[in-house]
Amino acid sequence: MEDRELLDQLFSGGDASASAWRAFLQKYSNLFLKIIWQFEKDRDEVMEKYVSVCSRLMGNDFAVLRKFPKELGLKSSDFPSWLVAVVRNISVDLHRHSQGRRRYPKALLRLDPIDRKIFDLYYWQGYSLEEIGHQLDLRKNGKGTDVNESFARILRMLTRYAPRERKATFPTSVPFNENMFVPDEEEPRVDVALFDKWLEGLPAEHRLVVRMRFWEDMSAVRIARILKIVPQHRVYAILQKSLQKLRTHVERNMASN
Amino acid sequence: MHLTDADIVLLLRGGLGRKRFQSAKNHLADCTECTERLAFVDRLPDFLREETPPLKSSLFEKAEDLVRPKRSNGSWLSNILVRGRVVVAGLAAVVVVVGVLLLTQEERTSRFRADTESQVSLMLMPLDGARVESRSSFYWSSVADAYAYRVEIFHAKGLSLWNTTLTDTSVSLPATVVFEPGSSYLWRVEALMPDTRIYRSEIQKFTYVQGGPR
Ligand SMILES: [Zn+2]
Repeated sequence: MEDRELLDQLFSGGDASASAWRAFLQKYSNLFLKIIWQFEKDRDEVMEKYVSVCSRLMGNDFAVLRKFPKELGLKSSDFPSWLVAVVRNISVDLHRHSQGRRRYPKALLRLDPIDRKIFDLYYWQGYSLEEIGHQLDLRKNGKGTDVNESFARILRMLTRYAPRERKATFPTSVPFNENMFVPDEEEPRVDVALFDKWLEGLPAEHRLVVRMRFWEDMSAVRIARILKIVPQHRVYAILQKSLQKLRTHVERNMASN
Repeated sequence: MHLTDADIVLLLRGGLGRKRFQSAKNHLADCTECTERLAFVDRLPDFLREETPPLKSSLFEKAEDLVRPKRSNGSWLSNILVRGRVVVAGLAAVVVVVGVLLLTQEERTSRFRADTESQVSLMLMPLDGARVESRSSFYWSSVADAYAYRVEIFHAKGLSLWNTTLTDTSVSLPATVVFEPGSSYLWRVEALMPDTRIYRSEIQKFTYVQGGPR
């Protein structure tokens, strides 16, 4: 059944409404669970929030869901995306303590620990690559990593790497992996002032690209498509330029201190 | 003003008009929250592809009951007869598990297949919250016409640990899986029907405790 039809039945009241609700839950329960998992770490919590989400969706005679048909420009095929947005809002609301927290850029969390350290030292603290090599004693740690190699890898990963597209080549279903969820407690601390200053100094479009790539870990390709940036590699240039600016900014900061 | 959910959906599929697109971009450049919402909705394809720990059928029913036509409450028995044509055969009292017949290893389809299957009140033992040791066996009520049962054990957070398909209505804990004493696990049974329907039991939780030697 098309989502519009399903909604029409849902809003019709009576027995048809109840059977449409069942069909709706059968179709979307798993999606709700996946969304809720992004905010809760404990299975029992997730299950409990699931019922809360459902009751918010049906409450007040489906007031929340009734908004969908009224939105101009939305098609029936937009319903799943719209529903993700709505259920996310509810989940965030149910998980109040996570609100307003400053997040560390997701893309940086994906770097391996040594690379993230190098990134921190270079971009946040203004060390030179040579100093970083000494400080981390990279050649002795058995990994045989060269700081320059590591740095090149970081740049590649941050400015060119397209995680979403690469993942998309996986066949059908990916087994559920609880390790995908990075616990809040393990997030490194954010140098809020420095992040803010860096972003303030960038043009609006660059700021948005940086947010989407670094904070939200969206792929450069996807960013280009959504923001209609052509040619696509202009995104790479923006990212590289922005990182350079961050470095200059840190260097200047150090010189004035 | 923050972007609406509709704005976000339209932006992602390129459906915003030029003016609204521009103002949305300007807003996003300085709004962490809306960028986060946008990126979240953009993950829909991932959500559809990834698996998730299964929903307790009791919770599905709870959610389902939120919208329900008024009707007389059937008895527990007529309820399960109607819902799943289950015949509770009575739990075997004998604790010895005889040769478990292993049927063809079922193809590894998603555990969370489109929920067209009915959920039945399959009775399971041990019950939710039980303590289980290495010598323990699992029992379930038989379902009329079922040609086999598929038993699956999950890690507490939903990762599948082990499954087997058999015709018996009991099975002992697999020796091939290492269970952590003190840890909790989930299990459930699916009754496989000749017409390809699958009846699924509720998920039960158990805690593994150190027992004597097998
Ligand atoms: Zn906003």
